[in-house]
Amino acid sequence: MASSTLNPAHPLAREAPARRPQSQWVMVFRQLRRNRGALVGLAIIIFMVIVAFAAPLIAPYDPLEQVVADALKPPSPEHLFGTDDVGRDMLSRIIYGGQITLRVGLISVTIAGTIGTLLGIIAGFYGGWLDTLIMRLIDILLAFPGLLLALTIIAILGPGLFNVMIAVGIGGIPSYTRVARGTTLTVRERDYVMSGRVTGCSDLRIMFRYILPNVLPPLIVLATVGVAGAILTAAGLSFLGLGAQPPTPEWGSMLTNGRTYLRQAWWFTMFPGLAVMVTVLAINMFGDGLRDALDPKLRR
Amino acid sequence: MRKRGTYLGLLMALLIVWVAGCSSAPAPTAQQQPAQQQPAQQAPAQKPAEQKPAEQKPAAPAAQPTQAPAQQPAAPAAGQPVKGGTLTVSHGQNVADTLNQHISINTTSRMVAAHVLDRLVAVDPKTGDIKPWLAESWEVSPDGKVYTFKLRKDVKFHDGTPFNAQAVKYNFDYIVKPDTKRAFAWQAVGAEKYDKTEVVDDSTVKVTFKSANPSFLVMLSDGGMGIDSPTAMEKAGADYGVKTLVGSGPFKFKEWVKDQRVVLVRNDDYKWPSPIAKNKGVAYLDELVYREVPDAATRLAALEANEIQLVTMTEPQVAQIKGNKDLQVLTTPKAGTSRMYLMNTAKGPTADLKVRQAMNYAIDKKALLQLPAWSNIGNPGLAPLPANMVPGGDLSKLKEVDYAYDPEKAKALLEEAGWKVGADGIREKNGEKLVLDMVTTSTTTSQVEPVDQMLRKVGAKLNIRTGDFNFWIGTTQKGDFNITLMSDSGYNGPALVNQFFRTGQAYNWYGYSNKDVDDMLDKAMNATNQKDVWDNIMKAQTQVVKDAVGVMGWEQLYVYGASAKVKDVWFNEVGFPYFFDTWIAK
Repeated sequence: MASSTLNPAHPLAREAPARRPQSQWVMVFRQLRRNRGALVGLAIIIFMVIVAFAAPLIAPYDPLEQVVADALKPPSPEHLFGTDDVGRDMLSRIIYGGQITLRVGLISVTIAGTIGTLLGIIAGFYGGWLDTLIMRLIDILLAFPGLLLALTIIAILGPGLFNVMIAVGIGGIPSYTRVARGTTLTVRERDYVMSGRVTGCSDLRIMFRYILPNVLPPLIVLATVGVAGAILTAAGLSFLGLGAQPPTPEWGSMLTNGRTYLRQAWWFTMFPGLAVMVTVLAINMFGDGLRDALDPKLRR
Repeated sequence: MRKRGTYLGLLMALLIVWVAGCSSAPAPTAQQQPAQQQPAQQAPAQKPAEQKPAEQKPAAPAAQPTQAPAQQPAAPAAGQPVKGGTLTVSHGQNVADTLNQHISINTTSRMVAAHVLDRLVAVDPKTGDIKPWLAESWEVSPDGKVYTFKLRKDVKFHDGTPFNAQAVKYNFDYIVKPDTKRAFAWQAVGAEKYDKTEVVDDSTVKVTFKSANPSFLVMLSDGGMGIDSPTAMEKAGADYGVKTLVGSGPFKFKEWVKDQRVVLVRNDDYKWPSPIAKNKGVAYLDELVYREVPDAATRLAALEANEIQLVTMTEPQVAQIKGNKDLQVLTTPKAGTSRMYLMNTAKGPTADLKVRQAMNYAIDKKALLQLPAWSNIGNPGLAPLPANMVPGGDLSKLKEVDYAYDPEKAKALLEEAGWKVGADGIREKNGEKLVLDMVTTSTTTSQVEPVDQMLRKVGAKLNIRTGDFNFWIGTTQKGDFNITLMSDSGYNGPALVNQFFRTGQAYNWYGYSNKDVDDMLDKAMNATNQKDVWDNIMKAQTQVVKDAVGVMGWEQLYVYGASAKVKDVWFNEVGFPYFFDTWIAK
């Protein structure tokens, strides 16, 4: 990532003058390695990613194949996680659901992160009326609870997984903007930015070459944890029937279908619920570790 | 951010533990009787009672509850009604607005009020015959505009005031006030045609309409058309229907706590039961309580714990209480249309009759009903109107044109229509895949997903689009679909068929237009006698099925779960339970 362009004036480098200069990311990784929780989280995430990518190889059945005679069968050697109300294999659906979950998490965070960071840097860099305008808009966005905002956006765009990603993405923008702006404000007065100005760099170049790399670390932490939040919100929206469209094996919509049979077929809700829980927990644990590792004050 | 995420995760974990806990330990189903008095000898209340309530005889294997379908064997019980006890009931919907039937638009409100308010006439749910009740007799003028009712003279409202011609006039005049326009009663009375009500003498009343109103008598039997005490209405003003409700029915209003419960108590002075009730005396139940429990799973749990003795259920829940000897499942046909998969006849692949016929052959209606979403109850649909909505339940003509499940025929029809199987098994024509847009609400996904599977077997598939009700109706109204899952409730069958299938009519969002059908519907809607109405309606329905406007899905049911001790529940002609005959075995 930004390691090769890291400016020697970087705060991390400055605050550890005694140490041999080394790549920021190597240091971060060293820190992470000491955090057991973060490692477990990372392991689970890696496992999930592999499973999601290898879904066609791993899944024992077609996630869409309905076998009417097998409807609502409890877990058994044939169907480890049981079957749903139209006779589909739950394990296969959860495996394929991982793909969707990852996609939702990554895409919505990408939307939120990109737009949010851009707005934040612009606001922080130019200041003045532009700053005021952007930040007041962001304040308005921030005034709505995330889920409510997402519901409003879906009411406008219509239900569907893609619209959920957009809705969750837009809902995530404010936090990135605020963090990016705050960091930009401190960074823009630094000498290396000044020197950039003096040498006649364009605003764009200064923003992307000098400022962006330095506002990234806190944003990365935000994004990591944001993936978990996005997954949870998206699952919630699917649970409300506004997200993934049937027969898409999305965890949230599996939960809502299973709810009807809660007392009759516990596996129908439990496994998708567990999947959401484990994923969100793993990402949060990793995010925590990453935050600690990126925080120079905690560095040992 | 971080903390919130973790807490949410923990919350989820707790939820799962709870779910697992629930499933591993079946909820106790101990039968705890609500506190009741000993039956003892029931003093013959009033009048010669045909069935003298007797002491309870324990454990004589006995009769099925009146409406019990084959689902559940009735628990052994004494066959003779006993007086006493509280019946707690919970419907899916709450009493949302008011119990004042002149204003209410709420179905549950009507179900409740039916026990407090008597009507002028009653409809026998078995035959559809109209029987006298508060009206001893009536005459209809030959032009169908003037109805003259002779009223009973011995009827008293719960507040002690007499029921008479003035009361009837007050009630009807109140209903047609313009500010009650949205109310059920406004439509039921035919307010647009209503002219006036005249008091001829104390027990004779004459209702005049501006044009013929043939459905007036049938509608008069509905709970929403009950006769209230004018004195009480005047006295209570805006509080009428909220803090008080005064009629002449077998139960008296005690209290309504909004969003919680409505409590009714027995009217011990009741002497004018509906002629279709078995009970000729006062009601058996001491109290009738309507509890408001919006969530279906919670309702069922309350039924199993015997906190509630009768609840509305969803079809998937039926399987959950199968084998529970303490409970029974009661079903009754729902008034309205069949639940239909209607196809867009105006555009897309389904504009082609052959494609629509193929869909009909490809979808196995019987197999659908066996899935958990239907719990194997109910009947496949044959026509827009289910059997309970046509005279004598006779759909034999429709059986002749029904599409039996035949995937081979479906394939052949699709081939004929030019849809050839593509590389991925899905048919295509002119580079377009046979993927049909199915629009429905997200609560009904399990009613459309199996259809997708069936269509895949003949080389078609669905693109299912779901959302909330507003999404569904918005999309469907725009005609932005190939198939939509649709039905409507109501008891005016001919009007429903007209609304669904006449060119340009209210619900005809799928662009169906057949001149012959329009003619038949016109004839039916303007007919002066019932035979002409139904001859034409049946012909129109047959043509609709021949034109394969939709796959006729299934005939809908109201499903109730009840304690096996609850006896003699019966349902009126529109499927609402009426508890005047009902008693609780000890």
